Amino acid sequence: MFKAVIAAGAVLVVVGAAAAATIPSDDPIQSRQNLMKNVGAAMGAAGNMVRGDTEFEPRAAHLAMRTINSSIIGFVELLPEGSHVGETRALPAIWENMDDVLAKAESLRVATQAVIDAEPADLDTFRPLFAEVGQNCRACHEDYRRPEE
Amino acid sequence: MRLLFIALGIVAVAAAGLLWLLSGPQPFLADDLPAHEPDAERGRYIFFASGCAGCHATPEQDDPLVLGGGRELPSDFGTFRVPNISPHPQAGIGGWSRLDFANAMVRGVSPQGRHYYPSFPYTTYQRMAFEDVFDLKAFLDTVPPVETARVGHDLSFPFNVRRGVGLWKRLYLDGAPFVADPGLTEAEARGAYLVQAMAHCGECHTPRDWAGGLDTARWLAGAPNPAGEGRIPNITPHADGIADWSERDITYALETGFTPDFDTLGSSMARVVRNTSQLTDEDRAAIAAYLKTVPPLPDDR
Repeated sequence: MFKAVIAAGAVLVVVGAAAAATIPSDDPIQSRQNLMKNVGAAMGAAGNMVRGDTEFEPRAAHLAMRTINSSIIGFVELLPEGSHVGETRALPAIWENMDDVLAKAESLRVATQAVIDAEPADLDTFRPLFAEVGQNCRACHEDYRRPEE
Repeated sequence: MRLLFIALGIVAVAAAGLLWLLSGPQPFLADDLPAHEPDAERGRYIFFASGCAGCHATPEQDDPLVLGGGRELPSDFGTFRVPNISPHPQAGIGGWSRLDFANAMVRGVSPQGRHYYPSFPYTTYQRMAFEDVFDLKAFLDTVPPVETARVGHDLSFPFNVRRGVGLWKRLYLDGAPFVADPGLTEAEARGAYLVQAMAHCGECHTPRDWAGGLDTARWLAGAPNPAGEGRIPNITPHADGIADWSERDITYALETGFTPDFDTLGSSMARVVRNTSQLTDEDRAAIAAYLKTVPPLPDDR
C-alpha cells in the first residue's frame, strides 16, 4: 500500500511538472508542444504501469487519462491557419484534412473519457482501455507529424 | 578510314549486344521449384511478417487486406506507383501461377518476363524459403479482389528504361537464400530471417549508394528519407541508434508503436507497426534479439 502511494505521488509529480509547463502563450506552436509533453508524461505514467515497470495505482491511472483528455480538448483550439510554419513537426496536411484531424482528436477524447468513466480498479481492466487510447496517438502521428530530423 | 568506322561499328554493336545479354531477366523454370502443399493460414502470418500491406494496401482506408495499390513512393529516381496485388484477374495478380509468383518475389521478374523495379523489395524477399513464398501466395489468393487499375511509374531517364534494371540486378541481387550467421542463437537467427527475408527493415533503415543499391557496410545505420522529410533512424545498437533500448523496449515498440519514453512511432513506421503488431510476441522478441547483434554504427550525416 505504501509503495502504491509513493508510485502515485511520483506520477503526480511528473504530470504536475508537465502541467506547469503549460503556460498560456500567444504562440500556438509552443502551446501545442507543451500540451503534447503533458500527454507524453501521462502516457509514460500509465504505460509503465501497463508494462509492469511500476505498480498499478488506480488514482494515478485516472489522473493520467484526465490529463490526456483535457489536453486534447485544448489541442484542437491551437491549430490556426498558417501555424505549420516555424519550429514545429506539424505537417501542412493537418490544414488540408482538418475534418479528419478533428475526428481523430475527438476519438482520443472519447477513448480517454471511456477510461475515466470506467474507473478501472485493476490492471486487467485498465490494459485494454489503455490500448484503445494508444491507438489514437498513432492514428494522428502517422499522417500529420513530420519525421524527426 | 573506312575500316576504322567499320571496326568501331562492330565494337558498338558487340557492346550493345553484351549489355542486352547481361540485362536479360533470369526467371525460374517450373522444374526449379520444389513441391509444396501450400498453407494459406501460415501465409496470412507471412503476409504480415513481410509487411506487404504497408505499401500495397489501398491508401486512405484501414483494411490491410484491400490490396488495390495506388500508393505513391517518391524517390530520387522519380515516383513509383504501387501495383494492385489483389487476386483480381485483370487488375491484380489473380491469374498468376506459383511459378509467376516465385519469379516476382525471388527474381523480380513479371509473368511477361520484364524486370520489376527494386522499389518492390525482392532484394529482401529473394531470401525467403520457397515454402514461405508459396504459403504467402495461397493466402493472397483468398483476399477480396479489387478492381483498381494499375497506374505506371513516373521515372526520369535513364531509370525509365526498364531493361536497365537487369544490370542493376547484376550488382545488387545475388540470388542467395537466407543463411543464418552460425554465431547466432536460435532466437537471433529467427529474428535475422524475419528482418533480412521478410520485414525488409533494411530497405529503409540502410542507406543506398549512387545507383540505389543498399550500402550493406552501413546496415541499419539510418538513411535520408526518400520521401524527403526528415531521416529514417539508425536502429543499430550504437549510441546514435537504439543502444539504450532494451530488447523488451524494442519488442514493445513493435507491438504498440510506443518508444521507451512513450512517444509514438509515426510516419511510415506507424504503417510498419500495423504489421508487426500482428506477429507473435516471440517473433517480435526475436527481431529485438537480432537487432542487438548487428554491428553498432554511428550516424553518418
